[in-house]
Amino acid sequence: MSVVGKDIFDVDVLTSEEITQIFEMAKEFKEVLKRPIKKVPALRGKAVCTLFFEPSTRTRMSFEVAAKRLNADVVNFSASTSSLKKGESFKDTVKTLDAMGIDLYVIRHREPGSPMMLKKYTDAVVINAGDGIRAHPTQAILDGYTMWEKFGTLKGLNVTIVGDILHSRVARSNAKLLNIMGANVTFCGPKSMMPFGVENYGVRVSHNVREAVKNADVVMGLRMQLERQSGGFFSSLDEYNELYGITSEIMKLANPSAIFMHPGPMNRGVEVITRVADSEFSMVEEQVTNGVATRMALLYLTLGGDDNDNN
Amino acid sequence: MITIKSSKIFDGEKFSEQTLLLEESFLSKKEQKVDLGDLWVLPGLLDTHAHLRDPGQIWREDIFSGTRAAAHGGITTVFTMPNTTPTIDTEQAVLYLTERAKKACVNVKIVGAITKGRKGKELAEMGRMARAGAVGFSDDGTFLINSSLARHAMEYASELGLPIISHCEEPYLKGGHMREGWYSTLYGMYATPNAAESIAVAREIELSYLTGAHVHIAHISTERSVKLIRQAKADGINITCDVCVHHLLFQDKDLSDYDTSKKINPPFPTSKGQEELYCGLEDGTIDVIITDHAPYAIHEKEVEFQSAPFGIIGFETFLNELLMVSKRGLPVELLLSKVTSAPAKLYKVEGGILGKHLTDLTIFDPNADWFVSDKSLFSKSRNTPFLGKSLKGKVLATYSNGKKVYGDPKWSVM
Repeated sequence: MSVVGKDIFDVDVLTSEEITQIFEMAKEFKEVLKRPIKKVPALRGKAVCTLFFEPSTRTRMSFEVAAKRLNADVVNFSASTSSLKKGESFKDTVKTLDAMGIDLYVIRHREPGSPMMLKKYTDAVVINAGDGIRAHPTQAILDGYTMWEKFGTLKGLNVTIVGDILHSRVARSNAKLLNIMGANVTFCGPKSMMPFGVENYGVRVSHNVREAVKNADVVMGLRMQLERQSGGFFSSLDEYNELYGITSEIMKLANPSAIFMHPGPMNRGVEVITRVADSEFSMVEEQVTNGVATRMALLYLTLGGDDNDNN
Repeated sequence: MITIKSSKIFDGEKFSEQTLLLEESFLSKKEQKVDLGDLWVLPGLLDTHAHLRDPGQIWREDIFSGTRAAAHGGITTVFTMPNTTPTIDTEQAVLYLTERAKKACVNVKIVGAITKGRKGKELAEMGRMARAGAVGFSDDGTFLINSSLARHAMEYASELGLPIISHCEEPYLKGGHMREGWYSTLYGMYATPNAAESIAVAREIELSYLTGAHVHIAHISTERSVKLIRQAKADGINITCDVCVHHLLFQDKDLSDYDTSKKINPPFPTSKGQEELYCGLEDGTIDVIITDHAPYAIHEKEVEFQSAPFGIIGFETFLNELLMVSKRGLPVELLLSKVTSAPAKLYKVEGGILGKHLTDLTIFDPNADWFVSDKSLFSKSRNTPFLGKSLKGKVLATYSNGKKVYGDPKWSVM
């Protein structure tokens, strides 16, 4: 069992033991984040490149903060400011960056499979920070960690994910990770936004949010994007909110200790109402903190942090 | 005179032991006898759906490189699709290509466009293209969504005695990069549902019924398409169809590596769809097998999967792939008939049988291997999933119009 040198294309490259190892490491790093000096020299001399071909603030910053807390050198590449606009290909971009000596890439791209494509041109470690609608493993890890921290284990936990499953890499990676860790997952949303054959993830599928949240320990909302309206995926945000919005009343149907989670950014009044988003059982901000801690753990472990200690 | 003897001479329907007598003008000047043992002697293959990219896209292929690749694959007649630059949509364009084709190493037949520029707005001059020798009409690559225009195109084509070759894809449902199914979900790919094809197939069947025109459905790839066509044929409707050989070997699940050399339109079928394609070949619903040879330059394919163009080259691995299909349970004679006698009969063109006038033939060793590589391919392009693989079966020599157009030097005695 070792995460060292492993490319994190999706959560299914990890075993349950490795995921638990990441959680435990993240817990230690979370302590570091509470210190007055929030830095450890674990990755001194390592170069991390965030390679964002798609706009993102949260995930990129989270990785950047995580890498800097570990004392790694961080360079950021984003497509809007790069030569990609001049027509440079993905291949040439990566080869150029790689020639600069990067130890680890964090990649976000609208194309599924792009992290694997990146790996064709580099020997550095690759961490997928979201590839199209395929996978978002570090979000699933931070979500899993948030549940693990709250409930002590993921085994037997009932997790209901509500919303646009079709366009959600978060839902897909979460379903895989939660399955590996032995949780029970329910996907809830309109048929138009349920991907083909979704039951094969080992999830229960529901089109009724009231029914779907029954006995849930975790209720997770997903961002509903207005532009899906023109594709006929839903009729109006209003109707969507009435049918699938997560309200206080819906939360009451879940287990008494249930928490609310959301990968952000939230559309208040669409998939979730403010009273839920800001409630004491909302973990939304905690998720952001945990994002930094789990990404520190992942960077540290994949770059062989443990080995460095032994030297 | 020269005589060729083999225990595996294929006449377009079946293998038998024969001795072929070839005229002196063909193959050799010397009188001799050649015993080929159990090497296969085939009529030159017909590939009735290919993209030679000529004119206008010659960085991918041209009529010369394309036909050399065809000869390397044992193919002696190639149908070239009109989605070139400019589109083959006038008599002059057909004549131009015909003239160029005279210097190509195998026979090239020209498919003209149905509408001007393949834009689906106005009919192309089908009568004039037919006069210049076009063998059929197709807006291949796009579906003619305007049913009224499609109807009139069929009316003209049937007057001319030529088929409409229809690319069936409902434009609102398309837009994906692979087949919609569990694997598209798993691979996170935007996908096209089966219904995008079968809806269009159903429209063509109804319009063929209305007009009596011969409509040939190109590269079918779904279970429902096979079933609809099977029923249409039973109802006596003038429908034929073909399947691309790659669709008989690859499925949606094979895209797990996001290899753009496996990106094709229509996309690879689901396992259920592929099973029905095999049934369709066996029961005669599917008439012909094609390669849909679609060359793209390395730099065009070496991009992210969803950004890559659709298409796979196929000439040079055609017979190898047919052998693989036969290993999965279809009789090899049936498969060979669908690339020889069946397409020749369907399009009323010469070739496909070993008859009196032997001018096009292929000698094939089913037990030899060849290695598909940058060096061994004759096409200008390399977009094949078989690149870097060793394949069973090797074309030893190809003769077209009485001339050796491909072959090992040791076959020069013939």
